[in-house]
Amino acid sequence: MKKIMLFIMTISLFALPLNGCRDSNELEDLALVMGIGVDLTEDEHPLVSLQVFLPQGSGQSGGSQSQSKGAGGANQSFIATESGQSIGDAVNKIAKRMSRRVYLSHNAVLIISERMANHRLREVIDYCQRTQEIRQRTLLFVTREDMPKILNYESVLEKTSSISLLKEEEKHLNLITTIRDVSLMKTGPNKPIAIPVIKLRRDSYDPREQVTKIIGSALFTDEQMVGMMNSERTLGILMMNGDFRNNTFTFKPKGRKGKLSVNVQDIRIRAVPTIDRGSWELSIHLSGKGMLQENTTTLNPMNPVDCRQIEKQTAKYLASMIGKGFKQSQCVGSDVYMTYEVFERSYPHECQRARAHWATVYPNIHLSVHPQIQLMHSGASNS
Amino acid sequence: MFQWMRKMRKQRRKPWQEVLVDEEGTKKVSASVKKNKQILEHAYHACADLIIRSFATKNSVENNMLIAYLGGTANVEEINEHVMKGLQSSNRPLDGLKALEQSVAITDTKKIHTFNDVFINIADGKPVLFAEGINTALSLGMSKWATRAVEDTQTEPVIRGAKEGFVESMQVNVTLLRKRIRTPRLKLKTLVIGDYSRTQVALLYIDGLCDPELLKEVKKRINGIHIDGVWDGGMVQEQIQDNQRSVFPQILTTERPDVVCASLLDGKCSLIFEGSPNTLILPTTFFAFMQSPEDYYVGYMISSLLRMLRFGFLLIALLAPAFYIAIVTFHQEMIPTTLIMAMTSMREQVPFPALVEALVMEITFEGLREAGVRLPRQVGQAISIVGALVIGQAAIQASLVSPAMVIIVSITAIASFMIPHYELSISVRILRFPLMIIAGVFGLIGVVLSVIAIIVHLASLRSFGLPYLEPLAPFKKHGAGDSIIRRRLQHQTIRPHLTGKTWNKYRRWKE
Amino acid sequence: MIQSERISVFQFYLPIFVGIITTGVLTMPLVLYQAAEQNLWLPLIVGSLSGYVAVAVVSYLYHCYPQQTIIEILQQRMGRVIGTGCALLLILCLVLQGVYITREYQMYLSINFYLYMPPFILIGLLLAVVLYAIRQGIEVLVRCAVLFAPLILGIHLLICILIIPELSPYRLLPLLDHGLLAPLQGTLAPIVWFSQFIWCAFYMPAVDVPAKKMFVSGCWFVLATTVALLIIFAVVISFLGDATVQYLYPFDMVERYVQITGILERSSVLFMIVWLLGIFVKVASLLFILNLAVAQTGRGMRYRKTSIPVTVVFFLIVLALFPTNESLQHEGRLVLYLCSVAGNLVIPLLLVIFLLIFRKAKGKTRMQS
Repeated sequence: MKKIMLFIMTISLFALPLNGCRDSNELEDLALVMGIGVDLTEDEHPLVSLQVFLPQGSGQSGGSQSQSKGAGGANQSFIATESGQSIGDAVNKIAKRMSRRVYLSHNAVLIISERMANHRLREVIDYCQRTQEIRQRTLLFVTREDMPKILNYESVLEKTSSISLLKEEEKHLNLITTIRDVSLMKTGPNKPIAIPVIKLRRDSYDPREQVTKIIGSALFTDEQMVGMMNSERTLGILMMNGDFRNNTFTFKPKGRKGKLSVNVQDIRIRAVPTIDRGSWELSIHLSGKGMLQENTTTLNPMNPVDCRQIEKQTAKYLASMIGKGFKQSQCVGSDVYMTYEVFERSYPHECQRARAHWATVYPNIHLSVHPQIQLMHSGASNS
Repeated sequence: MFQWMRKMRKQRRKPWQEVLVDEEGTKKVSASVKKNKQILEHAYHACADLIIRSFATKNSVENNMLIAYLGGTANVEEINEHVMKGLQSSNRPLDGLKALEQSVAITDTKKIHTFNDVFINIADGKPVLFAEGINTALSLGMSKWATRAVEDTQTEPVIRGAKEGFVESMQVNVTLLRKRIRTPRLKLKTLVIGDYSRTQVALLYIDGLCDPELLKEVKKRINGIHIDGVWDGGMVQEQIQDNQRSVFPQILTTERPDVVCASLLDGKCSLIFEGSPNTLILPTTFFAFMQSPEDYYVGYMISSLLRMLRFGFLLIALLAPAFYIAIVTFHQEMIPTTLIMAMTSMREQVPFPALVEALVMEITFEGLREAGVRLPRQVGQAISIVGALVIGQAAIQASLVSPAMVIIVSITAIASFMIPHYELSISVRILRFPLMIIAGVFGLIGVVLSVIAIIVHLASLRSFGLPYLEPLAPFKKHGAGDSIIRRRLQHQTIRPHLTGKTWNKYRRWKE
Repeated sequence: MIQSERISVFQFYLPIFVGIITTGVLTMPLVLYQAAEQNLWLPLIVGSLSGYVAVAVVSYLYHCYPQQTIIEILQQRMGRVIGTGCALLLILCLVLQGVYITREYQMYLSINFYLYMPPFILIGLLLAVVLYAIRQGIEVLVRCAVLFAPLILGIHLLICILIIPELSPYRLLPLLDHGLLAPLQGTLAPIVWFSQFIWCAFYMPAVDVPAKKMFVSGCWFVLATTVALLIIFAVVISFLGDATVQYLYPFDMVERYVQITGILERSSVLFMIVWLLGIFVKVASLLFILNLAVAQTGRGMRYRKTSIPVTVVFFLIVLALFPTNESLQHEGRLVLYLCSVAGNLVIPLLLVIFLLIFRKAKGKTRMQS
């Protein structure tokens, strides 16, 4: 025991001046980064904006020349912006002028401007994978808005805009892309990636505030943005990848007046790929459950015939939704549906041969969807 | 078996008697009362409490009897009633030892030949009777010491189970044990420690369950002790445990008779000290310190859960401040985002680094606790209120510490009170401080490596040959059911195998 | 010293088991995936054969000379010069393996947690604790292993369970898409890892069991190692798929992604804690046998007296070799493979062959030392 104590004592005594504690930082010496925005300047240099948390006790300390909206308000953050040769360089410049250490571990979102996304997504992904401080669960977004503006908008409910974005994602209504998802998707041929796109929108009834809204998802091929898919079609990607939880679809049944709102949940997918003499076919067997939420048509869900009708219409709607999205992705050649993996599992050799020229194979894949929706109940109403 | 322990324990023991009295002790009891009286008076000069009374029997003219005892140690009424009255009124001539014994109406008498034994018996509170013409004295077992009544234990209270605890009299304590284990196999050997205090120590064990080698080793180690006086088992414990430099106690101390009885039935032995309510139980494992006697009196599920809870809080008591420091200064990514935002705001106003803050708070708390023990009971209440207020409220308002730190310190304090045995609790409290410093310097890697070092140390400890972490490391299938969890009693049919070859395997009477 | 200590056969293999799991989990997925992609179970299972070979060698040596370590057997049966030469070669191999393992530990911490702390502090801290542990002897060491093993396995299992919602088992398919031979190129790594079971031969006298039982339980341990690694690798691949190759420490990535009820995430430090426990067991058992080997090679040296110089020299060697991650991944791995194959397989197998011939020539007379 004496030895332990002696050991502990000597180590402690020697270590204190030896600054073994180079890695230590007091909490009050950290500038907690809540969100990162990456934009491109006019002369093609990355422009990084960091949303830094402003502790309430601290008054004016922190970055001075930031476009702060003033402490003490509901918004507890300020934005620091700097451009540099690379993302790392820009972050380093911010760190130099900040009185505290820039700490990225609590960063929740990473917003990429469209200009950056168009050609230079690679740099962003590389920086994120290499920097140990950035978490794998960091959410990625693409936006067309002005970067500081979207980071700096004031959320009504949450402390910072980043947190409100984070919470919005937790609802699983939209595509979620984390850094790990990107590194997974990157492994496919052509490196197809899908990242949600957000937009700032003025709330029409509460003039104080703006809200961010996810308006769709950006599609990438070879780490270049090639197109955008709208919000509804994105749900098709979610369904195919098994990330779909539930959503209410509203549509007009064929040949009827009025509209149906059906909440679809518990979607299960079985994909059957076939390669038949050079023609690639993928048939999707989709089964799910539905709940009728609103019914302004004359169909009576309690009636077996009408009930089948509703189920069929819902299924058809879903099939067309998936089909349209798939078509669109084929047009831009971005395999965000991960069809390559599906084919590879059944036809490893053909796929390896096709891997090099996947860009030509993918647009010719024929997709057929066979949906099957079961209406579980139609609410508390008996009609 | 005990090879590794026989490290040059020198056998330089002398009989205590030679040390205590130099000249008179060697003398024989003489047939002359006068001569005996002279020797006694010489030995006990300036001992005002020695009562020497010479008297004459009925048919004698001269004072032919002498009784000597220390005032306050013997039962005076009984001496008067059964000795003096009988002798003074007896008509029978006292010719010889046998007649003397018969005329004294007492069961416990002992013949004494040397003054050595005379002094021992007088010191034990037994009056010694000399008679003219007989060169043997008679000690009368009529000692009566002032002692506390059997009361509730203050240090190891339980909700369910026996409340009574040991007192300062060895005899009473042994009675409490005899009350619970009613078999002649419960053996008791007395040893004597302390050259001046001559404290009696009872070594208790159950014949057939306890390893004789262990008893031999215990006796040997106790005989190796040289000390003027022993006032509590702790003084002996320190000198007989295997690793005397360790922070961790290797011998269990208890005030509860039921704990001693249970340990005796496990094949352990116990040391009871005259004048101290604390008994030692050995050999002991680490897990014994984490067990409360109550564990066996409530349901096995409840006690298993409670034990796991205790182990959890043991870790908290040891590591909570260190982890807090390490996480706050090195691994901030572990703190949930919402919490770190709140904590940063709180810490903005605190001028000290987290390590200093934690050290100051912990030291203050240890001071408060120590003060609480020392202060008179009435004042103690007041001090704890003041302490709680000062630390809890005012320190935060004065921006000396952050609220999170106060929570950590309080949790640590509560956790350290959850350890059932005080000695282990102290060890944990001591180890907390180096751990905190290491955490502040190296972060979690330092904490983890220190914990590994502590575990290595624990694994290297032995208590009288028994590995300290026994039922778990080395793993013993039968014992593990009574370590971190407690199995049902009907499944604990196998007695733990402690040391040596003697192992009475099954927990039932077996010839 | 080693002859006076007693451990059970379970404790005998446990430190090696813990060590292989610990280091295997961290670096093996990447190495194996580069060679065999999702079929890495094949090279792993084939490679684990070297574990059975190692266990068989240990058991055979134990069968012949239950009271001697491999160093003593080498020196006494193969002649003074050859025996000492082989012993020195074994020691060299052990040192270089130890250097790789220690550097691996330091790199992992430097990359993930302590970006600015000097490497010598990280290595020195570990070696200081290890030095304290090995001076207590093998009994204490295996007791620590017994205490840590459930914790290490439990946390790994917990991580595997918590990550289940994020897993896609179809990433394990297709089976054998490149044929049977292509994945086998990666067999060397598991061979190297499993060959570490030979380390048991350095503290054989501490156990007292029939040689057959030793062999059987050794096989169970090799099997358990294989199964544990298979489960963990399956989780890694179902989580990362082809992206496994993008990360230096794939299982660490899995751990980083774990989220408990949305609050407790980024708990990779917890993984670091159990990983440290494992690496401690590994480095301590390695240094213990290294030290014992040194003490026995130089006859008449006391184990406790050599422990400090051996550790200090080892510390200096570690500091001198493989200072960067790149050199560790290339030269370091090459050296590790060479030393493991030579020290853990070739020399012991040669010894066994020699003994087979030698003992036959001597007839059936049992040599008892």
